[in-house]
Amino acid sequence: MSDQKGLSIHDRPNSYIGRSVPRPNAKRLMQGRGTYVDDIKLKRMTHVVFVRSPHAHAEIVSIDKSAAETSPGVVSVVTGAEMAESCEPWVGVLTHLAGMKSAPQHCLAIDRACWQGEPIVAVVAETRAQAEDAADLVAIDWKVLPAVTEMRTALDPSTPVIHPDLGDNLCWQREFEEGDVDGGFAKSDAVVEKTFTFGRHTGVTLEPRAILADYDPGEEFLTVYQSTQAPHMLQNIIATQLGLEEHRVRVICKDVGGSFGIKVHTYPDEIATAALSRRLNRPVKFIADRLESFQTDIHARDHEIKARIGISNDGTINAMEIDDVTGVGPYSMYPRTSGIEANQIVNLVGSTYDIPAYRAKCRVVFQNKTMMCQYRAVGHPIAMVVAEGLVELAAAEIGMDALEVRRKNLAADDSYPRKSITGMSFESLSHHAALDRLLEMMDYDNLRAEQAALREKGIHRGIGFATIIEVTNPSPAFYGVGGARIAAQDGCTIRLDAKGNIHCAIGVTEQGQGTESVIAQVAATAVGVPMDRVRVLTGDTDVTPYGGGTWASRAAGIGGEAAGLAGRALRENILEVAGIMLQAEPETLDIRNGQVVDMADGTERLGLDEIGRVVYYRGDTLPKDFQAELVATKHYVPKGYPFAFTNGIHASYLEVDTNTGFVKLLKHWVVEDCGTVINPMLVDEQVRGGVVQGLGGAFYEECLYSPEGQLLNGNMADYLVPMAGEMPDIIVDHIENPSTDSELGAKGAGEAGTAGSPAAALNAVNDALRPLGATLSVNPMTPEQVLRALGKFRLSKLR
Amino acid sequence: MRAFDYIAPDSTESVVAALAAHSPNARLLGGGTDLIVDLKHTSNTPKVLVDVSQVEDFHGIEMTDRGLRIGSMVTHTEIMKSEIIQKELPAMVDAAHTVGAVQTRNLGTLGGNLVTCVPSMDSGPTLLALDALVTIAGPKGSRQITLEEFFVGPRKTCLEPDEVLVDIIIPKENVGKPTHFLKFGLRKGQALALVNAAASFHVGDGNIFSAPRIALGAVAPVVMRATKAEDFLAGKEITEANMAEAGEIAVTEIKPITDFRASKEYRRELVAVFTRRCLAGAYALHQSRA
Amino acid sequence: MTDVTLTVNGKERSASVPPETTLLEMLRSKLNLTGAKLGCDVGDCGACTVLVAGKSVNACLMLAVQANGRDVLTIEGLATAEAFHPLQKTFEELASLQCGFCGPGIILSAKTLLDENPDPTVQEIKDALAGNLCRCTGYTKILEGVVDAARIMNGKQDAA
Repeated sequence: MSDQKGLSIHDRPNSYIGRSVPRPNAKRLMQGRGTYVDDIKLKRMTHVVFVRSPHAHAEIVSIDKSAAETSPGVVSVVTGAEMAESCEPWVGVLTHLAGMKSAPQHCLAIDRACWQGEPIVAVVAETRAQAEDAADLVAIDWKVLPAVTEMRTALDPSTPVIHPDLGDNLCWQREFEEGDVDGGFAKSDAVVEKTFTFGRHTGVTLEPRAILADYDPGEEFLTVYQSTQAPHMLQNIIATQLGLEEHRVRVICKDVGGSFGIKVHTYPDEIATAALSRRLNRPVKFIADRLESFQTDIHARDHEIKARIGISNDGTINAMEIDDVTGVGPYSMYPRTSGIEANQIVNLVGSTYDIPAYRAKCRVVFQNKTMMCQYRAVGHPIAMVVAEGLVELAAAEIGMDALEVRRKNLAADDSYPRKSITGMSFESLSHHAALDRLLEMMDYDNLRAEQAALREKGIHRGIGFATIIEVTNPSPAFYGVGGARIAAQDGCTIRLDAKGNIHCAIGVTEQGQGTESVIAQVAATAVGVPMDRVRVLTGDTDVTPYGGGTWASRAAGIGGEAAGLAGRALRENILEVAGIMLQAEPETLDIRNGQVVDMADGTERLGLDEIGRVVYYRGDTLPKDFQAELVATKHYVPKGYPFAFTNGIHASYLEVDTNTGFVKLLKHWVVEDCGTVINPMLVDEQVRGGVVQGLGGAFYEECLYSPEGQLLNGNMADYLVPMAGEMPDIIVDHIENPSTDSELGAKGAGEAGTAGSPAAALNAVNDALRPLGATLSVNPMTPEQVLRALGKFRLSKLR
Repeated sequence: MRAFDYIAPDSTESVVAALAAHSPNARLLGGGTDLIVDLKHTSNTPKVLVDVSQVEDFHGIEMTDRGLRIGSMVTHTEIMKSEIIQKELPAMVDAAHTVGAVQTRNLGTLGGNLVTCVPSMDSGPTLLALDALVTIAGPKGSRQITLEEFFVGPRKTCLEPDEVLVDIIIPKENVGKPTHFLKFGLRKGQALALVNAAASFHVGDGNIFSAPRIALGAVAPVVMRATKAEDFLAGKEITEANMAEAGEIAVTEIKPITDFRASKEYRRELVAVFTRRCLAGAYALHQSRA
Repeated sequence: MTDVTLTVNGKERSASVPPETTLLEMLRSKLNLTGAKLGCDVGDCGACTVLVAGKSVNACLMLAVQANGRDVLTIEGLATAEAFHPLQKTFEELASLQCGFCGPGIILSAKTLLDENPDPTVQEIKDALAGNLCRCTGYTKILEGVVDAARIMNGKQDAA
């Protein structure tokens, strides 16, 4: 897309594209001036605390709330039956995931609790402490029901059905087959089969989920301050569930203390808080405590996948096959559903390679545990562990270097556009270039030599790789086609103020990844002003154009494009005014560094402040037949490709203590291709943050349950996320292969780190253990798992 | 947290008097890093919190006639910064260093860690391996017992409800004894021990183990000594093989449980490895000093 | 109720609070200093880190009354009217933080480290930050930010 009336955004003078500029919001956050929901106080504000189910599955026989209602400071105590009058239930299904089913979910359970932590009774009081004290006084008589916790047997006829109306515990299943799978395995010289298991992870946002709802009966208007990734989606959902029109709900999302996909769903306690505010005509604040976060934030990644690969001795991959089962909790999460992760796994396994035959099956089952849904890099880390784990095992089996196997099977960089075997359209990927860059960065040959030398001394180090693709910039093909009211398009309204500054309101949101910076960079570049003259406003449904928010690595690619288009439109509008004022053709003018200049030689002609002054205060001096528009709104939705796929490759270097199983992470490298890099400093650290989150899942993190469905480690001392001390140096580089689908050419980068680091780490552990004959196929790879794989346990020696 | 009254006496006597007046409805507050967490999670709140951190007798690290005296309210940070401990008993520095993280070590106290008496406490093994004594004050005056006697069960010490821990004493002969401590946690900071281990011994004439001590945490209801392994080592030559054998014997003495953090089988493996490594570490310290 | 008087960010501040009030609650609710954050409420995450008498503590684990009569520094008191603390400056330039929720705690933990140890190794920095969880970043730019701030404070590099 070339810029007819000027330069393309990449060729603009004083361009901020590709520059590591600091974030505009950094100064504020650095001084503790961030405004997260819990930092907001409103007049007459009340606090809600939820009485939650202590059982994974139990019938509510009776609820006695009388003592709670008379407890000091209590404003209201509301049960599920009462709440049902204020709030409609929802069902989390998407029509394009054929056959998916789920049961209606209420914001407070009415007769039955289906997971430990499900909200049952809401207690509203003047202070949080009073609400907590009163919550202790709510007496619920429970009849404990058998809990379905084991996903592997959830479909067995002997297993109770959680929702009898659904007939069975199957939420959704998909089967896929392409190519001659059986023939492919038959002609293979080696077939490697492995069962991969993945522990349940959760996001552990440092700021817990939070909402402050403020219903004004005078205006019949609900203002919601929420820590969310998708303000417009929540506006629509809150309005719908509460029976309000959308224009009577305003969702404001100020600072968000981490999200990672956790804060983009319909949580019953949050909807209940909005409904309570409307019931009480008072502001109601809900801040999840840490236990509530662990019990009720979505979980993810609980899969067991039986997988195999067929390979010829020359390294050709002939076929791959997976059979995946995943347990997603008692309901499918609304509105994104709990089937997408499994669907992504089916789509993504082996997708970096040119494989001729692939068979996949996934079954998504209900169980009485916390609900699962989309968490950062949805399905990617699992698909990559399976595929890349198999590739390295197969390479070892045929005695070929795993990198050679990859070179042989990765689709050639000049073969694009092309489709994956599962039908995903790839515009342009750079697997081979990325691999070459990676080996250069990590000084691969010397690293192998070091590994061999240390091996002689009994030190077991491993090097592992993982190629990845990442789903970014989703079009309506992701959710919209399935009936979900989740915007894939995003808009930007940009305007010139009277002093020549730029105000830019945009639908994508900031959760720390640097949206405000990226949008300011693009807008400043497109208009032609210094970045410090741009103010970006996000996260307010009354102010910003309709947008999807920030998820699936869409903010820079989609929001950035909208900002670029809007900025260019504003520049053209400004130059039209300038042309009149200067008696020049607008085409001969440009805006650079906040000044209208001659396009040809950059001679300064007019300040933007002068344009603002004249248009806003002295319109009488402009021609009568001309109306200036110093505001422009543009939207963007990906149309050329359903998704902007990115690619990358990870390498992990680590050391295994074979006596304790402890793994020390030494170094990690990533080369990824997110197209145009708008701010390298931000992209690199976001990739690193993603790597760390992936390594957390690979080595430390798991939500552990008792057989009865009790979460055992719902605290930060027992659900271990990585901290500075554990993490290796992480080196990041890029191949820049811009998308031609947009002018900016930016693809997403938010999940590339998480997508590949577990697979690279698993392969590195297996590389370290290979001479000892041990293989791991589990996440997290705890020291105990490593020692088990090594067969070290002295079970027989002791009684 | 539920409501309670707060008092902060400034002498041992007034602490004892406060306990006499309020026990069993009183709890002692030291650094609070365990107690405040407990109070947030229970509705069984004491009526009175007796803050003992301002009692002068409970502070200070100094050599006395009996040995090295460490006040019960000495923080883990103070232990790490104590010159005498750095010089004579670096294992105590290492143990203190593994407690929580900087913020926890700035608040948390040695006495508090011992009184809490969780099997995975980080302070216990090193002190046990040094034959530490504790001074307890109560209505009948003060008494001194061994730390081993002090530990009774999980979250249970021999402190009566009206008693308070005053100080910890490392006997004179053990100040400077080669000692090594190792913690196995899954993360460097803010991690509970899956196994803690400490070993100490003097190097006797002919390079033999003299007065060997092996103490282990998180593998029994209380922090424990592996006395069979100690007996095996006593008088034997200091060799890697003997260290390894001591580890194997220690494995037979522990009573680990399986919980979500680790299986008992895995804890056994760690005890074998960590006993050996602690012995080797203590010997390395001896050699580095020689 | 107990009367608690603190010197917060150089100014004497008093409040009458129930004894069970944590220092964090007093700062946030009574003194409207919301820079210290509630992340876990049990001392695991470090988001509530403030300095009491110059030492970092988890304000969620300390009763307000325990800090009575002492100096408390919160993130709001770190920058002067004229200038950022070098840590704030380097953290801004390097984009060390992302969502910012852990930031006040991390910056204060790093400040006490640099106050005591002006030239820390990366390992010492990691150790000093072992009580501060960041879930967004790869910690790389946080560590670099502390290293650079130390350099500035030691006068090895021009502050600009």
